[in-house]
Amino acid sequence: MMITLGLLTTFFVGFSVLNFISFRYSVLEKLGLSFLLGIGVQTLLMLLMDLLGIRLSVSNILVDSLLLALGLNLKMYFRRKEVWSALKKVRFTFPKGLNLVWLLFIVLIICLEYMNWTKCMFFPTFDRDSLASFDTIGWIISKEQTLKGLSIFQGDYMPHIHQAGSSITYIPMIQLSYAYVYALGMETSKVIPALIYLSFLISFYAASRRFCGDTGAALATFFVLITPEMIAFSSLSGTNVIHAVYASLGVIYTVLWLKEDKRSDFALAILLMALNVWTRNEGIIFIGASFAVIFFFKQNSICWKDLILYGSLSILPFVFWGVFMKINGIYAENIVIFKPFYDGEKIQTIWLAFRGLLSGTSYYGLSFVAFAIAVVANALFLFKVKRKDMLALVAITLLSLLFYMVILYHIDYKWDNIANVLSYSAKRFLFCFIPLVWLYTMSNHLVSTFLRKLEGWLSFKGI
Amino acid sequence: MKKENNSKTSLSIRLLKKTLFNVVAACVACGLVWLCYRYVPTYAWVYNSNLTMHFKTARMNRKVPADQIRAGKLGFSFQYLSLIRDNTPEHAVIWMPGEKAYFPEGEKSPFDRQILSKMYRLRVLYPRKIVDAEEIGNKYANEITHVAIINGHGVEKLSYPLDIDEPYALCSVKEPEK
Repeated sequence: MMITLGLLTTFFVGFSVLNFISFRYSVLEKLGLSFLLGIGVQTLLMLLMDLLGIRLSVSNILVDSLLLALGLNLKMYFRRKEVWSALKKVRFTFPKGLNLVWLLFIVLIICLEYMNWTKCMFFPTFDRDSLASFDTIGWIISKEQTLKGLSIFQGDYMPHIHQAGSSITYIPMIQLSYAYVYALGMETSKVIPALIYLSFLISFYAASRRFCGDTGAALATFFVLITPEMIAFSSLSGTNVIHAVYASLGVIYTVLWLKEDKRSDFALAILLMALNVWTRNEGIIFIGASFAVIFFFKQNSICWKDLILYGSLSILPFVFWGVFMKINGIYAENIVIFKPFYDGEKIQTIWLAFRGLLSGTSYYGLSFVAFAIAVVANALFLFKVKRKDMLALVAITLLSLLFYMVILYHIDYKWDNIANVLSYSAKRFLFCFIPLVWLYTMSNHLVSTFLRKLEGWLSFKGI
Repeated sequence: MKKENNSKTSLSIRLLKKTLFNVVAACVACGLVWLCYRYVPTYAWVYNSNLTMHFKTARMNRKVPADQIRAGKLGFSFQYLSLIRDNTPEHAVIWMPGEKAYFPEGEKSPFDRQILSKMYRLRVLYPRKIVDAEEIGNKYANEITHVAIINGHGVEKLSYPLDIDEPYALCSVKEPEK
């Protein structure tokens, strides 16, 4: 009962956030994005509560979440006539280009995700990273009802807690989300990765539809789902797939804003980018890459207010966590090299590692291979045809990849050697790019023209 | 009437054509999926090992308690820690030996390297406190209530003599009353 109430509250918070931005999102977008936004916003609220000295008990969290949701719905209440007349026109309709190809891939997605969900919910947390950090910290937060005063963050009890690479400085979205479900009474925290991945598939499909139609979106979602390393990690308890969800959706909605110039997409892009950096610190590279591309694309019609809003609001969780750590004495040995330096061997190691990861099919299937072919085949159209959104998507993807290599270069690997870090961590960070590469592969000029014609041939509409 | 019949026939033909196109396109799509499964080994692994095998395991064992599943997945280390958890009170402060006890040189160990992570051990043993052998400055070092003895390491922490043949034992620091 408490578990259902808790999860419904999360869904309601996210739904309220989305409606606060705009109530005109599609049914699928609302279905997919509600849990993603809800858990992200709730965990931010939990950190704020902890900062203010409010105990992280389940009753406090639920009451504060519901108050937040009610506050967000005030805007809807004041515009209730307009909302009601818009909602009366909403119909759940089948895709315009409904055809057997679309149906085949949707059935495959549902079957494979059902198997993935069952697997995720059955096996309790067993991966090393989660048991040595996220899951354990979440479990203990749920018992001690605080993050800042956690017993395992005390140096006189845990002597290695302030060393380089320690989990004490990991941005706490995942830990707090696990703490939330443990506080609700769940035996394992697996419902979080399970629901986040399911919500992502729905959101990704809903957002991709706006680029390449239903059939293209179904194809893109199918290939993202079956990406080998990503589907394997989606049912574990680590941060990588969850981060990939927010980062990729943040980029997609940024590109949608550049494409359709809707304020609702702009606001949602900022929120998703903020949740991206709220999940993992290095998500800042996507904010940087998007910022640079927005500046480049809008330089003739630049609205400085938009640029400042995008840059400042999306890094707010990162700043908030920094302030929280400072106030509460949470620290670890610094591992970032801030001063410029040249190390040819390190550059080569990083380059070779990435080349190996991107050129093979072992971890990501055909993802990067298909992307490379799509970029080469559409090279002319990227600049000729007025599909600036596709150029923006490619630019953000490639720029983020470059920024990530720069970040890896500027880390001092005190806790492990660079080869190990690249082979375990780097391959998981590339999950963020999988949805982006498949979106481009299905929505570039050549493929989208073909898919439009295909839907025309196959659609039963207008017979 | 003739015009109506003609238009009905034309509609039937158009419907048949669309259905045929859809069936052919769906077959081509199935072919594409099959090609990925057949020629990209990791896609086959996704379906066969990662999804199907684990799905069948999950369906067959859905009533098995979470701790039992954990024991199966995490192996001896988890089972060992569970025994400590089940035989100590929640307020216990447990002394645990160092790496050499778990992994003696030249011998095969049933533990995995994860056992060396204090956070991992806390996931099972919390709210019990852990004091590791090398943690001289640990604030609970003077409050130890139990000692986890592995391969003879830890006997010296007891306040009473103990002859032990077993590789693993969990003893109270104070001699139990006879």
